[in-house]
Amino acid sequence: MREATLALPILAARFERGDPGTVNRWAGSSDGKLAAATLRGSPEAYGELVRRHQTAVYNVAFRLVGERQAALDVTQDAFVRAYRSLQTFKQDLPFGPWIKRIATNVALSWLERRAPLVSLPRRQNESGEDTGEETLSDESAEPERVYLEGEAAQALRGAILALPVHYRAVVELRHFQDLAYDDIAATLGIPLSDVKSHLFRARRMLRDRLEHDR
Amino acid sequence: MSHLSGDVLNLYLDDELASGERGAAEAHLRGCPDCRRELNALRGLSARLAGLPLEPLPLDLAPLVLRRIESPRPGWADRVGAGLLVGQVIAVALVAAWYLTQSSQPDVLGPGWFWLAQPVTFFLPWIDSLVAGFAPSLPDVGGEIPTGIAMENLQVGGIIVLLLGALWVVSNRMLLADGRNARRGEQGRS
Repeated sequence: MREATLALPILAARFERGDPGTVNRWAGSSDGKLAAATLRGSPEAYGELVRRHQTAVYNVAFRLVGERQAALDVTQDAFVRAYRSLQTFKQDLPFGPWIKRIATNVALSWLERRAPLVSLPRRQNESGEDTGEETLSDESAEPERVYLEGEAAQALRGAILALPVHYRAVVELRHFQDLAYDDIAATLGIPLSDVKSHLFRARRMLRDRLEHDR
Repeated sequence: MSHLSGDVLNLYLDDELASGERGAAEAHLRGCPDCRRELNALRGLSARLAGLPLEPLPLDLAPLVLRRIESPRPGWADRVGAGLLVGQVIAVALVAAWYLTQSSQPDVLGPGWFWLAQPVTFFLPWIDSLVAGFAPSLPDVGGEIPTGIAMENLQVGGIIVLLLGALWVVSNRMLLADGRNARRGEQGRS
């Protein structure tokens, strides 16, 4: 690994300059082979894994934390954490679902650590009862997002971010990572009954909010 | 007519119902437009979530991740090594200061030796008292331990510390070289 330490700054510099002599000898390798090569001491193989999955992981983070810079930080943290526990990755399985689960937990930790800047008001139903759903004072804080995304997508992102964090996590794992209930429970470390109640309630909230925003 | 509960509809949507329950749910759905409408609403939400476009990644994170991997936080071994080095430096400084205080011609060193010598002459008896108090059975290796630290032992100790320090620097030369090369590589990249 020490030789890789010395070689890496040179290799990274050549990647960035687009040196054809070193462009992506890992491009045709499977995720498992890249992981194995990384464990044998080839960090550039891990760089290829990062490039393959960074957009997907970034979107996991962005859906959960709702802020671009925070999502970038969470994405980096997720890949670093994955590197440090790479020996636990089963190389015959795809890398994507594994790293996305790690990213989900990193994002949730980030949300737990962050002190809320604003006390978000809770949405009330017609009877004036607290629905438990947080409302965002400004869901379009980044004007370029309105320009780049359709209103429907923007409304959906806002609806997801308005969910309580633990509901948001279950929606992410079920709808965007296609995990079964048991796997969601194992990933989040919660009982199966909580997965069901969170998911069903989250869907109800999403539908209500999207109906309300029409 | 009773309807399927929200829980059952959600479980049906997610294919999490047992086969017997699934059959019963399907039979009910065939005859209940309200439940079919509710199920379709859930399917519509699922489809809408599935259609959420991907947010483009604004930059390539691979170099940043690799840089973090290559610059890990120091582990306990690194900290112990750093602590030993600091201890060696302090020990060498104390021994050197002691020699200065023993100089028979303090005027040669100028007035500064007084400010260097005073902490040392205060510190050494304190060490002496600690050693005498906590290690009364230390062997007498050539001086007045345990009743007092013999200056000869301190001289020997200082020489040993100097040799160990030199040995550490020599044995760690490759690490120092790696650090220099890594920094040169980063500077070249920027």
